[in-house]
Amino acid sequence: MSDAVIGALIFLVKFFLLFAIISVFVLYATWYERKVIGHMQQRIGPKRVGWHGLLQPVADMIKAFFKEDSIPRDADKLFFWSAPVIGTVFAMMAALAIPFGPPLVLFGRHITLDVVHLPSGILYMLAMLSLVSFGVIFAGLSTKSKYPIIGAQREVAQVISYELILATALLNPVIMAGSLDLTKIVDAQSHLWFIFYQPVAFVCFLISMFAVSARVPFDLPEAENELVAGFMTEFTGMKFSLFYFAQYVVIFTVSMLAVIFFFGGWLGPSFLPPVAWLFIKWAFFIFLYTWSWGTFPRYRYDQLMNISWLILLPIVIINILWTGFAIQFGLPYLH
Amino acid sequence: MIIMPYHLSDFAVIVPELIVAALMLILFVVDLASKNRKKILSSISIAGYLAALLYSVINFWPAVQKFGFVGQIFIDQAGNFINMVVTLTAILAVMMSRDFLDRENIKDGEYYVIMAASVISMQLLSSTHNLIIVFLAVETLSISMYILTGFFKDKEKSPEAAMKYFIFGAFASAFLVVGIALFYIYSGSVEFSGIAKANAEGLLFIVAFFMVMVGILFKIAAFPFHSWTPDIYEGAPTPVSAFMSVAPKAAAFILLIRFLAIAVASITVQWQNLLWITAVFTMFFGNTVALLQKDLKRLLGYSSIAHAGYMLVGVLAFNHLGNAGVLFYLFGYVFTNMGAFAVCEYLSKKGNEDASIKNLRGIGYKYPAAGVAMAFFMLSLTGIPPTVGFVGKFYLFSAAIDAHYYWLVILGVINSAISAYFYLSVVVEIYMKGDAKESSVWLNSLTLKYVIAIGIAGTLIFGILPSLPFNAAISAVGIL
Amino acid sequence: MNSPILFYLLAFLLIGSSLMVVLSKDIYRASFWLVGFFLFFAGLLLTLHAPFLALTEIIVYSGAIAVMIIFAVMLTGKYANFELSGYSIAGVLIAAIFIIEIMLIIKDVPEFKNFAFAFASGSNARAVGISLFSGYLFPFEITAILLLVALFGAVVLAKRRKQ
Repeated sequence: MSDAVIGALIFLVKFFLLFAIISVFVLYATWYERKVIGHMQQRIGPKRVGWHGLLQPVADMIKAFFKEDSIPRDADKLFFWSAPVIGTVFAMMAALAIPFGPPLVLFGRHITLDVVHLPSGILYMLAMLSLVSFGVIFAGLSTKSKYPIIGAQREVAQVISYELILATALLNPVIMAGSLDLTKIVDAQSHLWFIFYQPVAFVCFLISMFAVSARVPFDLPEAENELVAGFMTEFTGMKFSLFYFAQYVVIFTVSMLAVIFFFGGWLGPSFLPPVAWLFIKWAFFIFLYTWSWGTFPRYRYDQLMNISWLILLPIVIINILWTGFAIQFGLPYLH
Repeated sequence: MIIMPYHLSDFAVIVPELIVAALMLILFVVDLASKNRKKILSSISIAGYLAALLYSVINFWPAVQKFGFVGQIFIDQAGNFINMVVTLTAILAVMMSRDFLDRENIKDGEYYVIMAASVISMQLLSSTHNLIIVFLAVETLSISMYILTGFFKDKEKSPEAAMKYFIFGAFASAFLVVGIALFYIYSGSVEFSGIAKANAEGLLFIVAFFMVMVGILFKIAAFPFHSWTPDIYEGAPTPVSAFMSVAPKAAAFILLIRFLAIAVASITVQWQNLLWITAVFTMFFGNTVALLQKDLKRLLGYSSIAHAGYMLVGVLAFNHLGNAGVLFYLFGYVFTNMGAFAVCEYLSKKGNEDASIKNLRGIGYKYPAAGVAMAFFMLSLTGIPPTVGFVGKFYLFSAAIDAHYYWLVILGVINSAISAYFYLSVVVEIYMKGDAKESSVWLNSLTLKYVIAIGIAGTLIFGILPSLPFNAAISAVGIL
Repeated sequence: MNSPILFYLLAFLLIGSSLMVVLSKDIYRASFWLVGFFLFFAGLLLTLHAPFLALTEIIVYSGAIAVMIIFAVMLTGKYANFELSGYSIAGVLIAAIFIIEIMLIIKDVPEFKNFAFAFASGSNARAVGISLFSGYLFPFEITAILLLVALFGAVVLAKRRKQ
């Protein structure tokens, strides 16, 4: 077999592995969230289907699959069909660049543990994440109904404001590591995780992480008690599930970003394999999402905008200036 | 680690720009701090521009070209000369704005900030051989001008004019940037000297040249890229129209001279043919359409097109006398045109920019000083001695004769004769017997009166004693 | 990443989507195709070994500018429908002239030996950054003034005056 064929095979294997991981995650994230939220609210959560409701996601999937697929009469068919796909595809494409561990050497071949390895991996992920919102925008525009359009408008404003914060907050670790390569960023943290150097940037990142994935307390695009279901109002069945899928993939990806950029990625004591450390740290962020869902009230729209432009943006910009200054003048910084 | 290719001495080259940049930031901060006393902003502006003007005057000699920032920017006499013209125009425009903005209830201090930014861009434009800097400066200049044009938000004409200007200007910028890109593809350089080294035979070179010329000719409002001028002058606040009619043209002309003399010197014959046609059409268009105008600001707009045509004659001569003539003409144009716009503003009513020529009837008897001033400026624009307008035209046309452009000079003189008709008809209207409209309330502003006085003084003094600025201009065009 | 098939595929998609931008009667559909246009253009840049430029182009143009355009259209309220007016013939003519012109001048393009900073393998974000902050620092700083003025202007023109 030629080199190119082996390369393609490795790519396919990695791709399907990633797809399997994400699919299982999305399926069981719904079960897990309902369970945790249930206990937070002194309820039990799903219990009937399978042991402790473990088969509940499968039942939900079967239901979504056989649901009637209704299309509003005035809907723009092109948008209506493409919107859920756009969101899912770009979210998946962002996840392709996540490295799950240090590069391996198997049978004399150098294998990176991400599906595509790019020297400017973080730029690629940010680019793809910025395209995910088009799914929501076109979903809102396609139906020509009021709630979806309001939901889409909110999404547009929110995503533009917070992706800026997300990217600029990530610039601090990038400056410290001196690279856009995710693997090198993790390697740069072998002494100490970046969270200890950049607590402010981490807090900014954390806030914008919730906003970019449109989760409580920033879930305005689908605020159910104001907008029915926001941009998803007119969607049913599989299309509806695809939106959920995209949202959970985004959550998966940005949580991974948080771990890689601030918590040393797969670095950890050697009694566990690197991949395990990565997923343990990552699980903490997934729990954070659920925790905030059970705890916080939703912000108002103007508050959302003010937090981004008036509070977070000046803070991250000052933080970047400080980081550059500290590195240039060799302030305490291990390398 | 990156090695910085700059030293502190590089900053000595951009001192005028730095002065105005500091002024811009100070204005911004003071504007934030002072809630309602916006007049302090105009005082600060005048002080800042005066500093930049003085720096240019003091450092005018010796005649050398000092480069900085890896050759991307330099300072020389021609740059200093244009710096003087631009900062002087800015001072006069700020003096015109001081009470005018108060009367029109414009409280946004950003007016002065944006004006400062436009001055920086013109200073950059007048002292670079680098097309990237040219593009950035042209964009900064254009954007600040769009904003200043649209500053009368609650009137109909001003935002409309800004929108028109923006659409025309965006096209011109697009042509300019594509032209620059083509030059880069063709010669691998954005420096004038690098472009000059390229083989100028290719069609690509000619197309790139045309596209860059579109961008520059748009800025000086030459035919066929003139059509924005009258509408925008009419819609913009009067001090802005005045500023716009002088300063950006000065910067664009020095850029045009440098570009033609250095970058595309290898196709001199071709560009001279092109410019010949442009100059003739610009003059004829400006002057003949001005005959039909009923509105003073529109008339001055067409007149500024015509004057750009006269200056193109000087550029076309392609000798020292012609280039120096253009610089001198710009210098004289500051006093004459700013003065004319100042009188126009002086006679305007609050909230009404209607500057119909009919409203001038009998002004000469009712307000003798304003009447005399207006008549005087009109004489200078026509080119009648002993005004600076006459001397400027004399230099331009004699340069063209030196370069054997006899037909062009004849056409230019015919145009002067045409222009005499509409300029003098304004004078006739001023001294026509009749009731001066009672409602024409003048703007009671001391600084505005100073502008008119400075205009008269400059027009007269440099009309009688042109040697000082002209010698400076001759020396300035020695190195381009 | 430089096969002619990939180039022709991307070029075909690029031209197709930009034609759809112009020909769509519905402004939202035009914006949809505009996003496609930016993506394919980024793909073309990738084949030229300029990944940094490609990704920045996606982030800035699709992620921000296209979204802002859609947002602006949403805020103007109406579900706008465009009618191509009588200018279309003039537009086609100008476009045709432009294309012919480009085809004529393309043969004049000399060998690309002058393009000094090669798109070296590895991170060309570093190459772009170094050249931006060393040789082109001065134009970069002027850009700051340009953007500042644009920002002021947007605020001044959009701000409602207090009565």
